[in-house]
Amino acid sequence: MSPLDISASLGHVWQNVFYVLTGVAFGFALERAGFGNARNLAAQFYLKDMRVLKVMFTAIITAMLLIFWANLFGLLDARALFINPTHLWPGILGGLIFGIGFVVGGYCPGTALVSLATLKIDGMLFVLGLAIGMFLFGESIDAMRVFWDTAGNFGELTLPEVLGLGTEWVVFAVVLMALAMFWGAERVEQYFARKNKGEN
Amino acid sequence: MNKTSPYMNPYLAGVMLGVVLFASFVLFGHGLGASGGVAKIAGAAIDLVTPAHTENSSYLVSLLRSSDNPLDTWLVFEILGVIIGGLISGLLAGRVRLETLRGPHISVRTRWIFAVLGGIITGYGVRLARGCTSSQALSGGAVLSAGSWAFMFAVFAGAYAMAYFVRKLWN
Amino acid sequence: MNAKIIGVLAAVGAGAGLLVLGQPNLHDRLARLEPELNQKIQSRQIQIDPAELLALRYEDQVGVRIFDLRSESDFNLFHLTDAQRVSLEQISEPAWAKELSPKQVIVLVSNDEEQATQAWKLLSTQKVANLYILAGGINAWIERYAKPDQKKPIANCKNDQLGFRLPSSLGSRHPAADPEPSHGPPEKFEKKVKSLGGGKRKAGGCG
Repeated sequence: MSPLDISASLGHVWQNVFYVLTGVAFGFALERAGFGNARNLAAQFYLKDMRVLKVMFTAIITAMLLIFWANLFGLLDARALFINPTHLWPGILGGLIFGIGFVVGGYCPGTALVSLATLKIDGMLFVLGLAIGMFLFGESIDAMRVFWDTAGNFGELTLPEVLGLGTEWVVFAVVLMALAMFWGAERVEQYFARKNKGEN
Repeated sequence: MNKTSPYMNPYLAGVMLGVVLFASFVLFGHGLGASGGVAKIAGAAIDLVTPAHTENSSYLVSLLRSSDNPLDTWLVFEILGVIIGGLISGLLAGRVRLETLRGPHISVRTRWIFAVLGGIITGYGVRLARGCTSSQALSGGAVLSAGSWAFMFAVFAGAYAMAYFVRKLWN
Repeated sequence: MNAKIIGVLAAVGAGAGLLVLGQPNLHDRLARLEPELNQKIQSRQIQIDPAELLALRYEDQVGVRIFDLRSESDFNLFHLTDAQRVSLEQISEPAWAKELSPKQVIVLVSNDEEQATQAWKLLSTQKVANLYILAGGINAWIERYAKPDQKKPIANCKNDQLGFRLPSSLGSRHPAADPEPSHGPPEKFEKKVKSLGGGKRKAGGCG
């Protein structure tokens, strides 16, 4: 039953080969989606092109449904998967800062790498900025170590646990929420398309 | 749907990305990552220039000294792949061109400054939040991590709140 | 039918299908993992010698928690120092297993190995790390560490019953509950506890 342990079965080198291949597929999908272009990404925050939301939530519900169906059929042990530990307050504060950087710089880390790969100078500079920002974080972490380690530290915490619902109910709710967001996104895009036509 | 868009249909691209994400969980037991590899490479570069500084920084020590070779990690291999995959897709679509992508009303130089600045802010937020849109929002989101969902909505909230103030950059 | 409607129907259908079928519970998951787990049990990778447990307790680097699966009366008669009594029902609760730190060694104890093995399977299914069984259980422990006048074997002892008649309910005050390491040559045993780690994967996130 998966997850597989490639390192144990085929060795460390092969595992790294599979990581590179996964990265290739990941980068390919991001570039196909138009995420190598900062203008496509920033447009999300001016409601003109809701590509970021559509791709992200389609990816999340696709992977989520595959994971929990595979778990149901015994093909994948969902309990063995890495679940990002919840550090609520650093996560929210970091997310707000991240969002500000996203709209100022036009990329997030993964998309900036794809932009860099297609020779966009702004993407390369964004990656340089990322490295600087990470360095600054490293320099300032000691002053807020307690906050970073302990504020809202719930360990491994899932939405079904928070809501007290079965996993399948949360999965279904997430699917419905994503579809409602897609519907809203299409309406917003139509609105701006009409408005632009009127202006021209 | 925007028919004039030269890019893939966003829903189809999302399904493709979701399948890749699922494959990562099956193969390795965890999702995708992007910022961690940048952190490792940036940390290793600092270590190369000022190795003495590393020992004084608890952050760099835990980033670099937990294994013999800090670059021998899946994070680095994965972003190598991301760059190759992005290049392949860009070449197929004829989008590989040395250029600066920017809003219609700002100069190249302004765009460069804000790209670096945005990168710095994002880089700081990434480490504070322990992950980026790939490792937190996509990967943690798919396995229903509560913290990842909180992070995801915080990203959108931060970006929408800031968007008004930098609208001249993009419009 | 256009592509958009197909997409919506597929997503809603897949979500609703999960609602109807639910997710596997602990016993479904255990049944699925059983061949793999039985293989580990039969090859005796996870049963640690009493001497290894004793040595672990004197090792500063490793935290050890001992969980005793026996009945309350057996527990009151005799248990290892610092052992905590739990039932199979308790350890089947997801919240209970979640509280266990991955940075310690967990040793499961019963009179022989039967209940401890059952507990090991339940907790392994819940991905508890560094999980072991005391080889031979409490009976082997008493056999090894109680002085001849402190133990009276019971003839025809059944499976997973306490094999000794003890003078009174001494619990962990029985001299064998926390024997001094022998001053003679160190006891030989096959070391089975691996370095901490393993269990659930911790490799995700952005480093």
